[in-house]
Amino acid sequence: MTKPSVSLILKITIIDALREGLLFPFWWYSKGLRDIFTKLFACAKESVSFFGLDIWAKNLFVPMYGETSFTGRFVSFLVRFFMVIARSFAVGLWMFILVLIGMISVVIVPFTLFGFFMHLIGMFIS
Amino acid sequence: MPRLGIPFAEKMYVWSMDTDQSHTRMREAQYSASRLLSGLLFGKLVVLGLIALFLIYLQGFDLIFTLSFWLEPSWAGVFVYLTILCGLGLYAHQSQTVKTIPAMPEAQELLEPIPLAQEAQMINISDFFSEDAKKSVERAYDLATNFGHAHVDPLHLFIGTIDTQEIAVVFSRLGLTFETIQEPIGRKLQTREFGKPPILSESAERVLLEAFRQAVHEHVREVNASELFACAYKQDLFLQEVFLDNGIDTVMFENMLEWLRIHEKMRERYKQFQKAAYSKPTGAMNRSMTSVATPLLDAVSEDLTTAAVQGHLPMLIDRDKEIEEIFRVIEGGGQSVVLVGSEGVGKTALIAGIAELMVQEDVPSILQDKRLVRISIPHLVSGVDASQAQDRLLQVFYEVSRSKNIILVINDIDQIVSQGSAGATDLAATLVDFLSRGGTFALATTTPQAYTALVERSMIGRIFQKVLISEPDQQTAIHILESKIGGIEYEQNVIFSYEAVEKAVKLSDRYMHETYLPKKAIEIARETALQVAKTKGVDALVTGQDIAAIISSKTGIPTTSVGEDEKTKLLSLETHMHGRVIGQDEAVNAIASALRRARTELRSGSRPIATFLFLGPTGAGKTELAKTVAETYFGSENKMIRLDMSEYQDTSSINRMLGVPGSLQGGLLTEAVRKNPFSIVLLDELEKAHPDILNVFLQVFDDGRLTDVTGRTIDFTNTIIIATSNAGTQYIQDAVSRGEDIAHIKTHLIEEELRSIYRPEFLNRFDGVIVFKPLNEQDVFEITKLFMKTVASRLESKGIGFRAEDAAVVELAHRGFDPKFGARPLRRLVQEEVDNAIANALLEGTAERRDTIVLEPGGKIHIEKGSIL
Repeated sequence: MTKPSVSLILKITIIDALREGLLFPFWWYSKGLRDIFTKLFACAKESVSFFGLDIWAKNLFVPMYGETSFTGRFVSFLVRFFMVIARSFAVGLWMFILVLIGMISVVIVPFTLFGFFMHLIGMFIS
Repeated sequence: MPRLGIPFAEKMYVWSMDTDQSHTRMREAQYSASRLLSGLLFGKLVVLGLIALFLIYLQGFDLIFTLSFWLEPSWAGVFVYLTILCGLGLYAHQSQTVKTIPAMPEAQELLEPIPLAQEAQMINISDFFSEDAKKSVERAYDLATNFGHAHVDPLHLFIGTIDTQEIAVVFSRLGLTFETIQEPIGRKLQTREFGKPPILSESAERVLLEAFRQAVHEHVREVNASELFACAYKQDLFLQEVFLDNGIDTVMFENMLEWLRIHEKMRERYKQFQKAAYSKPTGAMNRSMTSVATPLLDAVSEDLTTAAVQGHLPMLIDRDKEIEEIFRVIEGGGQSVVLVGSEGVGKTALIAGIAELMVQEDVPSILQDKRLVRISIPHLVSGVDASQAQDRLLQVFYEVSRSKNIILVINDIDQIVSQGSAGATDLAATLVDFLSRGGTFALATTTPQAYTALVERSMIGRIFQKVLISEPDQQTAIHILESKIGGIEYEQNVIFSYEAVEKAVKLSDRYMHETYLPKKAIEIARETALQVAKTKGVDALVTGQDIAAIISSKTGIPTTSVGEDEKTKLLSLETHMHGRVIGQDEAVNAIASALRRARTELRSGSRPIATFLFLGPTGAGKTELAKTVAETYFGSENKMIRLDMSEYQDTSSINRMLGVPGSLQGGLLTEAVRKNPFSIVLLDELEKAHPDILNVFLQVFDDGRLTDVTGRTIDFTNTIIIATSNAGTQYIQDAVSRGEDIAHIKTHLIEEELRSIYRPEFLNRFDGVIVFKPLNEQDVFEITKLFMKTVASRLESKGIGFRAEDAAVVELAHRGFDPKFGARPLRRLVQEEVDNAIANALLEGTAERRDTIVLEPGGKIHIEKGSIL
């Protein structure tokens, strides 16, 4: 196989580094964020079945442990009702974390750039 | 510019990757640069992170939770922000460079490549190619450039793939090295057209598109080097010829590649399965918590879904059709299913497959969030009487009906009805009652015989819908065995060649008729692996010969390739046989040729090795020839199954041959052949048998099999069947004495003399009708010499020598010759004159060790005294 020369590799490395550095903000607010949001959305979609919320909601009126007496059904309904609430809360919390990650993703680039330059300039001025 | 494309969904899939040397060099450089940049960014991240941590440490870690740390300028802040920026940069770099494989087109089958004509959106299929496959194409260009070839052809692509790991596996499994095919390929490369720079030929472009098409058809994630390798092979007849020269035909080649695909699919499925198994409960409780504890059921059963989650069940291969049918029945009306198939065809594997699909919840909704539980009938009935067993079963059903998440599996459901006792009937009735009330439904298994005899017309038969599980064909069985080989190799530390896998299936299918594929092939492979591990050591290669040796030891049929000793023996069979049979050259030659054809696999596999009818007068050597073949080739005279057809003179005697109806034992003939499938069957004095008995042999001669009364099919394809008959003897003797030609005698016999005895269709089924000539005086003289040798060999064990004077031999031959009775009177004469005289001498003590008994004319003997110690 034809091997590329070291100088060619170095040249491409420098060009790529410069290109990626300069285009980074543009990439981040186009494809980068789209990828992140796709992953977050898939994660959110899986969370409902991960926490079993769909199964618990579907079986809200189905007695637990085969207890078909009135008391059994009533207790089951109560337990399932609270479980649905608890699991909804867990799903909600998870969604909140995902939204938070999404929001951080949106602001992290300007925030970091601003912080970096602010600290750097501040240090030189002082 | 691409010339061909595959149209699909208003797009045109084409190969448009630049693969010349400068582009390849540039791609290599970009790949190296990308890795270098990743390394630099990671290094930077680590260094900056450490500096930031050190600076924060100096200020105190508490400070990072204060607003002033983030807002008031500090060197620590500079480095923290720089580290975050560097991390984001690394993330961006990796996201941009790590190749995301685009999803393959969703199609069962793509159209064949067509020439590009109209404008359409072009999709470059190289994006779907794995790195290995792309590198193979680059190597092909490189090869063409180095040789100065004008075109990159399928041959270049084929050579380009050889360096990849998966193709190295293909070569080693096929028992090949590149060196073995290097020479013809090298010669072929020399004949290519020269020119610069090389361009992709249309046939090579077709190979690339076909590889893509094949990958879509196989539903794999990307086009691997193996697809490229296979398509180059298919496209190039020269390559097929090269492989054929090494004993690998297209079917073997395709099956070998299927092995790779199966391996890849199993790995992929395992990954998906592990992910799905994470959320599948393993206990009695389902995810919706509607089920109840089932302690009694748990004590007498095995939870198959739990076993599947824990990875204890085998993966199912190539049984989509059966699974689909089972699901259709279940979905159709929640009906119970009984899988009817012979032992070893894969009923249990199918149920294990359903358990795995249930873990992945890739099943009809009626099976979702359920568990598959196999009840053990022996556990259920052990230690209790019938009524207690019924009581237990009722309790189990109570638990099942309360739990509502259980699908029952009952292996060998005929066990419940088999005893025919009241207790068994109660169990069956309990089961039927429970299932018909809709408590749940069940998957059961049974064999075809048991289904017909016990289940079909019982009450169980009414509630279970039958799904027939037939024995997989050889190709499917090879694929199933390929999926199991990994486990066997891991257990025994050996490596299987493809030939071994193929032979395990083909030879077991051909020679072992009492068990079924794929189980018998898996068992043979397992046994051979153990044997090879013991004899050849760790990492030894299991070859086709090893498999053949195990099958030979199990069946007694020679299946290994012909060795040097055997080759010599086969080539000199006539000489060996003439050591015992005098004259009758036609018969001896016919038998020897049949044996040679059989051993070199140049015969039909669905008929006996050979079937002969020996016609001739008594004492001409018909039976003797059969005995000689049994001794010289089959190892011993005991390998001959002899039926005196005079014992089969009425139609009822067929029961002795095939077994008495109602009994569980086969007949004399069927049992003998079942136990010794590689033997000679001698049907002596065939003309004496009842004509209806002869009809039985029509099927044997045609299909090489016979079914006994128990329903077992007995394989006759490894037998030589010789029938002897004295019919037409008078005509033969008269015709020979008139000096008629033997061919004419045979024609007249078949057309005239035998018409009243054998039906034409019966005679037609013999491979050869051989007429034994009556013995002449010269033949009898030679036979007398053989008899004298026999007498000498009998005395040899006593340490006494024996010699017959020539005049004595001539005299014996003359006196023993009778044109009507052949050599029979001679045998009696030798017994009366020679054996009696020797016996007297031995009893009188006149002949002792080291003495020599000499036979003189007139039947007299004298003793030559041996040396005294």
